[in-house]
Amino acid sequence: MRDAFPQNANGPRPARVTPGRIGLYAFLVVAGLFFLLPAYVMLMTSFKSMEQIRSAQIFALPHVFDWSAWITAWSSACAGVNCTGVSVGFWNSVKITVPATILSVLLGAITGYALSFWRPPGGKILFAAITIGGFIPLQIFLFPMVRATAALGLYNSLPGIVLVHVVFGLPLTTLLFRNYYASIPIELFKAARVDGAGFWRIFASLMLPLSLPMLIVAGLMQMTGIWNDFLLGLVFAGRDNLPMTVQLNNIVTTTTGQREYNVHMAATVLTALVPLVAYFVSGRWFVRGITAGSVKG
Amino acid sequence: MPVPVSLRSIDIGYGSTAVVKDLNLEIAPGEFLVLLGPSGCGKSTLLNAIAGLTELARGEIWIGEHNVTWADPKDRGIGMVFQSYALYPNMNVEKNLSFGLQVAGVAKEEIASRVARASAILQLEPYLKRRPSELSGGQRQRVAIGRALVRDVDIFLFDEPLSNLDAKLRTELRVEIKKLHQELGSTMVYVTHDQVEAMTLANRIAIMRDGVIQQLATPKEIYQRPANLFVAGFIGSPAMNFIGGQWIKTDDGVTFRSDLADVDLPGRVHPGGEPAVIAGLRPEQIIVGSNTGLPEVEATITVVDAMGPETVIWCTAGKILLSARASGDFAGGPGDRITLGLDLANAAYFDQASGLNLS
Repeated sequence: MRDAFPQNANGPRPARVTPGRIGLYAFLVVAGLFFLLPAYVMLMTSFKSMEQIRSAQIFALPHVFDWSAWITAWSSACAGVNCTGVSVGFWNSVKITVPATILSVLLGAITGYALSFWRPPGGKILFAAITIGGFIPLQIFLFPMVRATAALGLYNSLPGIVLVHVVFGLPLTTLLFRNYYASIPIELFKAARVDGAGFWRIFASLMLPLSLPMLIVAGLMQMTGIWNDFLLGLVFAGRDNLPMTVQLNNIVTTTTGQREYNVHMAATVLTALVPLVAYFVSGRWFVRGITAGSVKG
Repeated sequence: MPVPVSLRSIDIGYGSTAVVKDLNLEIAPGEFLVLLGPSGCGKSTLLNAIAGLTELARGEIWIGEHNVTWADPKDRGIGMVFQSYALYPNMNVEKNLSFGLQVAGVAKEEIASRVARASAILQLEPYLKRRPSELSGGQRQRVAIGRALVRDVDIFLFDEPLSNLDAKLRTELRVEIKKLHQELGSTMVYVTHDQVEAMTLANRIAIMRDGVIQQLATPKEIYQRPANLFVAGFIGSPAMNFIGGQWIKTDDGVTFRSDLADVDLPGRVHPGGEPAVIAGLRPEQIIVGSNTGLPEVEATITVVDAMGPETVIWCTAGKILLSARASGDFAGGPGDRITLGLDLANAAYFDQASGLNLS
């Protein structure tokens, strides 16, 4: 048995490497490789020439770094008879994602704020309904939603797909903001009321600035969700507004002539790039709490 | 001009969950009224109702000449200071102070001069550009008071404002609040569970229990003539000593008969029957030493609390635990036998059944 009270104990305890530790690190390395390998293959393949790809050296580095597949993927890859690359889809996705993200986050913040602080009659029932709604797979709502947008004259249009994303995003954003506001002391709200501020003033001057971390988190979740969406874009956006994911799929599944794997890989990386960059840039906001010190010392 | 507050037949909450029941309270213009009671007695709820942050189930609230029962908080002319400070964390001190004025649409120069005046009174000038998170607890609470001050409110409402501060700061800020009241002369309603704050600050104290005011009187009156057993036990530290006994009718008054001592109380009016009574003796009404001319009992010391200027002696006489106040140089220790003089002639007497003061 190990001595619990060694006579020569002095200063920091020496680190000990146990078999369990080694096993843990080995597992982490393997898990890391498991996720990194496909990314590596994708990136490398996108820089290879078709000849090298055909030689079936899937893990080899490219003989020559060739950017041409990326240029093709962006501007001239063909989906059926449309040879415009993923660039059109990229801008469509931007046009869908930006307004849908801003609206769903802002509306979720307002709803969460109202439910947390103003406690409207029936608020608890509404919140329960919203929470349950968030757990139901959206495929179930697909057909009713088609009928609803058609009735509104928004089916197959940009406002239509934005509306659909906002509606399906609201349960999540409302839930996030309601729970975030539940952690803000009610006295803050009371103090603002005594100071004479009303519903919108308290929201704009106090609650919205305080919810910056949650705005970033919710915004990021909505942005990646909407950007990565395939189904809703396919069903509701209409031919002229197809998002990048749908267009990528159309390019990859086009089966005329030889399969240009390097172009497909480049197009895929391009499509995945936006959420990836967003996560890298905003990572620090996830752990930041700015309400520190507002209440109690 | 100081403004009165009038609470008329107030109920808060419904049925069995009623927090405040049929409460009437008249607060005089310029008065410093303290709502005192144990947690859950409804004192904070009552304050929230005066502020307009809690709805009434029944009754009216009048501030000055206005029935404000249905009025928004902002229209009531009140400022409120919370236990948790509730400063806006995203604004610096200056913005915190001026927010209410900006909402009210006060002119810029006017805001600047009022903020300057308030920050001078509260010694906040060096901190105007700081965020709340960069202030100490005492400074934060001063900002919270300043927020009410700049708005020139008629009524200041304090909800346990000092409870989050350490003992030294609490004493300092307590004195500042008292000075502020003397300078402004505004009506102030102050909620606390701390009897020292209540005794030192109040013109009058309303002691509450289960949503009902037990006694409304000056601190001195409450200390010397508690209306019932609850008030007697709640006010005073160490608490009042209770000695059970009986009142026997005599020619010129009554005789108090108990296990510890018998004493004649001339002039007291016997209520009839042979009521079980409880004598309440403050620790300073129990004097250590013999030849005090008072009814004497023998007691054994259990614990001695040396407080500095005085010593509190805890001892048992028979089965009864007593606390007595002695001078700071008291020399006895646990286990010692001492003689105590009980000033039963000046004690408070309560009916055991109803708990009411019999005098």
